[in-house]
Amino acid sequence: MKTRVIAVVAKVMDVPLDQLDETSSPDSVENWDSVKHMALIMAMEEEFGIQMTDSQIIKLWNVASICEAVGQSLPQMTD
Amino acid sequence: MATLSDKAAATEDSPGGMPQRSLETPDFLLAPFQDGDISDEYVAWMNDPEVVQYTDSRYVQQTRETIGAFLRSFDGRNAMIWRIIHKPDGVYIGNCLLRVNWLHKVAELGGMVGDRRYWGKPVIAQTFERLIRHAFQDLGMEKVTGGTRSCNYPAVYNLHRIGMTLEAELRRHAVQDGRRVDIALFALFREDWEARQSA
Repeated sequence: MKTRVIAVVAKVMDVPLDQLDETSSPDSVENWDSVKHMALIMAMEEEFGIQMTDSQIIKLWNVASICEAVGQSLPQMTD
Repeated sequence: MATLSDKAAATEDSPGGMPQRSLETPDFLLAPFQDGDISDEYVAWMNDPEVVQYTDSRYVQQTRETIGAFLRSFDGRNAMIWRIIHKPDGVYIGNCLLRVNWLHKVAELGGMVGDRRYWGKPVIAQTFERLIRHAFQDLGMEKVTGGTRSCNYPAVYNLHRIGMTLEAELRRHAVQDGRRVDIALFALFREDWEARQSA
């Protein structure tokens, strides 16, 4: 899942994949402004077929927190 | 409960009588409101449903009188409000404010960009960073807070952007477009701000 999250971030922020990791955030990615932050939320919801809650969205600030929110929103996997 | 001695100490510690002053960022001048500063554009912003969509101002028809009453609640010491002026072109684009609790050394910040041409630009980030520096360096605050409705994603972004951390969520605390929504409360402590400055 982390690889897919990073791929979406790279596409929305228009930065190379190899410049992103779990710690990447608006503090480290120059293109990551408020408009792209909104676009990123929508792109994540589309990519994973989920709808995040306001409570999850307000905690999104870096790739790691996005992975956590996406993981919470995905249907629980069963064997 | 605050005692009389607490209040006396707070008065001694606070720069009582110090006039609210202008502040600057690289791109903006923050000018204290003066009599006569209730401009036509300010009245128009306060009646623009998109500008005030996340505030309770949207429920009242705003006039020079209602805005004047609001501005009179800022005494320049316990509550301060500034006009945000874009320095390169001298355009007045919005307001920002600080409410100060001298007793507990906590300040709350707020702001709005009324001129839509400046939406999506780092107006709030720059002005809030300046207000935070003013609060810690000049006013001696120990903590600065900010809050917004959780569905106001651009505001949440800005609060993160200036280094604040989410401190609490007040669940279903307000009504927005017919649904109950949470309030997100953010905060920044002096030591965290100082660490961020030296990073």
